[in-house]
Amino acid sequence: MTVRSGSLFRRPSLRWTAVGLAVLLALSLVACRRPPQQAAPETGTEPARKLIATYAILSDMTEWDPSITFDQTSFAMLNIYEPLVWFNPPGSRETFTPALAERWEVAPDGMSWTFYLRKGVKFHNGEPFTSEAVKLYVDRTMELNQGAAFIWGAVEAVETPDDHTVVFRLAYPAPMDLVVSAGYGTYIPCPESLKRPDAAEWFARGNACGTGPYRLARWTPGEEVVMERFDDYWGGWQPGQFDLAVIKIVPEWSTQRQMLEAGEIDVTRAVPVEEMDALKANPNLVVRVDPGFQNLLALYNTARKPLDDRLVRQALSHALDYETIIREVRRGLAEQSQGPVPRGIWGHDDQLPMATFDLRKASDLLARAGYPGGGFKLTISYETGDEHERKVAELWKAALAQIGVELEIIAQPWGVRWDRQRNPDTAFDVFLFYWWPTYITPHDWLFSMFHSEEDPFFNLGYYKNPEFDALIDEANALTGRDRERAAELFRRAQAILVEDAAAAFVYDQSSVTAHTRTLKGYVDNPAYPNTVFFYQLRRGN
Amino acid sequence: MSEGRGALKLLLKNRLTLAGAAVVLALALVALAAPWLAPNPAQALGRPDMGNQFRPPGPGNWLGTDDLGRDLLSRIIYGTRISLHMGTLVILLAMAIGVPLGAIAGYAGGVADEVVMRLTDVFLGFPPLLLALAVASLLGPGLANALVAIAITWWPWYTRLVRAQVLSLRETAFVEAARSLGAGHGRIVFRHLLPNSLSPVIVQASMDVGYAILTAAALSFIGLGAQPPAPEWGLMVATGRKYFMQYWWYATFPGLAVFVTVLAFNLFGDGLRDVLDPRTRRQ
Repeated sequence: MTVRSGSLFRRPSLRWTAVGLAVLLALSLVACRRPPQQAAPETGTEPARKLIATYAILSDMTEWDPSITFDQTSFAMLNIYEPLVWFNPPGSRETFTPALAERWEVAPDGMSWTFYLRKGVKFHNGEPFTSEAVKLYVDRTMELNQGAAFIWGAVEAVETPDDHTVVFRLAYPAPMDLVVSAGYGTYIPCPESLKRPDAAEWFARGNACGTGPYRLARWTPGEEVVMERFDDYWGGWQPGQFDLAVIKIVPEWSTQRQMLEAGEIDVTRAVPVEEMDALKANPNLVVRVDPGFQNLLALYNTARKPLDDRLVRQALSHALDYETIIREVRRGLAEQSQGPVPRGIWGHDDQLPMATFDLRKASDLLARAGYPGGGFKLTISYETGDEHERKVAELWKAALAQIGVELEIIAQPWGVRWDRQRNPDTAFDVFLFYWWPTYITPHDWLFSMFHSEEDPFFNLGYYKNPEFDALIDEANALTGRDRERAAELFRRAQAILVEDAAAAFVYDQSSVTAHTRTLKGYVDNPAYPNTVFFYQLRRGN
Repeated sequence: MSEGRGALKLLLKNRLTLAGAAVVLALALVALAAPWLAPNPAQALGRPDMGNQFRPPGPGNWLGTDDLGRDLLSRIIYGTRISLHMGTLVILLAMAIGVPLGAIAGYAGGVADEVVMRLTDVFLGFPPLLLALAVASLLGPGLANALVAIAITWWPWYTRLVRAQVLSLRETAFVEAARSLGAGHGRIVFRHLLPNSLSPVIVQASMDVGYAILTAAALSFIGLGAQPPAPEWGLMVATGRKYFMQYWWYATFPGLAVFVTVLAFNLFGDGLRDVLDPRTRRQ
């Protein structure tokens, strides 16, 4: 009676099961895969044995245009290009190290800054470095207005009174010493490259022309960036410095670990906190922990019930078990945040109160807000694949369940959740979020995440407080002239945010670097996060 | 009766099928009895036990603990509920859409047939996982959305299957007889055609449950299905694989659970086909 419909039954059953399972298993077992043995990168020209250092990162370069780069491409860019000034790591005696500018001064009214440029600097194409290069670059960056171009927002005009002097005329007082030392939007390329009619395409193909110690030799997308030393670098060269600086793209941590242990790479910054101890046990490796400028916040949606009520927000902040999170989730590689601005940033306030994990207090606050016993549901968004955010959310959920609040956890990729959060109708109640600065000022945190905005960009909690806005606006205008006074105003602004529980300030995180023992001279600079400065490195024993 | 006994005998004769059936039955029992079987139901549903993370398999935690200190065995047991639930619901939903459409297409023919068949072509034109992925990412993450997304990619198989059955039965003598006795279209389709078309559908469905579970696990694996702290196998594999180098059990056991379940449904479905298909039976 039944007739077989052949085509359907030919749908191979077991085979596809096998394929599906193989995929699942392969994904789970990818850790076991040994990377193909890589030969040392060859350059072909010079016969001498070259010193090579290799840094492994998780994702590839994207945007090689120095006016636009605003992501991990900076790891290469900061070795190829230079800013006018470097910002020094925390604990340094001086705030800045002169780079392409030797010294600088600000006018008494704060409306213009003069930078005196270093002489005798050459670009990779042989052109001399002059004020024209700075003007061309800054003008172009502002005109393109992409990436980190906003840092130049105060600049009205760039003037070049002579070849080695640049004057920034400002529309309002801005801290240009901090701006020119930013990690993005500050890489000065040779005028020749900017004058090319096809400049944008030329950069996009993976070309670069800077003043930095390394020149871009080759970019193989998905594989590696090879940089070779620039012999005419103004800083000169010492024996033991690396001839070749390689950034390898290795998307899986487990592969990176195997390569590191086999000595195929020298540095990685992708160490999961759980594996730090295992790496420390390896005598061939050095594992170091440095303070970072990145912190984790949970922005509360202050525009929607019930989190429009400060008491409810405070209750939530008291339901986070900070101690356990830092001890168990971060394995000690963090400190509970004291307000929105992390330790180590000027203007941080070490007197600010920090929320404690106290469910009774949280419950009382809910009752005072008119929610005795909780009885409402909230959503929390975190980024797919971020295990730290996920664990924070899960611990929070379990704690909140005890005081009658249901927390629904939703994981999405960054682009999706950001879009959702920027639309008041689709926004989540709580948004887990890391912040790190473009340039080093408390204003970066306070303005980006908490200054009122018409159309939210990073004020993803819809926070609105005119008193706070006025304070940080004034503080920012003072930053260039009177940093002490500015810091004081920034501290007052932070106190408002903490009192208002505009967000849960979860932790300031430290960063972990693992490198081979023979690599010497590594210095971590959180102002340029995850950047390895190859010029500082040597090969030793 | 004698036919049923023959089928049973055939089932029993094939050891693999029997093993598959036994595992499917066992899984169903585990799902039903999860609260009594799981050593720690609270942890299965998500309560973290910090300080107890990554315990290797051993007494107390027979399959070890996960990255939040939760008992993996308990979570895998509760995961059975989610997986079976997803698998069966996806197939029921796909059948609910696919079977009536197939019957209409096969019986009515003409324009209706064309429209329905071209529609199935459109859906079948995409690789199933890719389509499910696209739909799920449109709907947003979540188990319910994943369920809908997978069902949407699945129904055309049933439509085509039923249509082919109905087409071949439409002109048979017993349908002719019913029609000449004055039976209406509805009666012919639902009383005569569909019941006689169902056995391949059942076979297909029993095998598809396994695929549906696998697809649901795959969607959860990439973050589009179950959300934490749900004890969903695919999600557990996804999280566990990051720790695989040091804590092998976290990804391995949920992965094995998916493997065993999908294999069992396949063996069971394969055997069922042999039993219900008269041509293989005659061999």
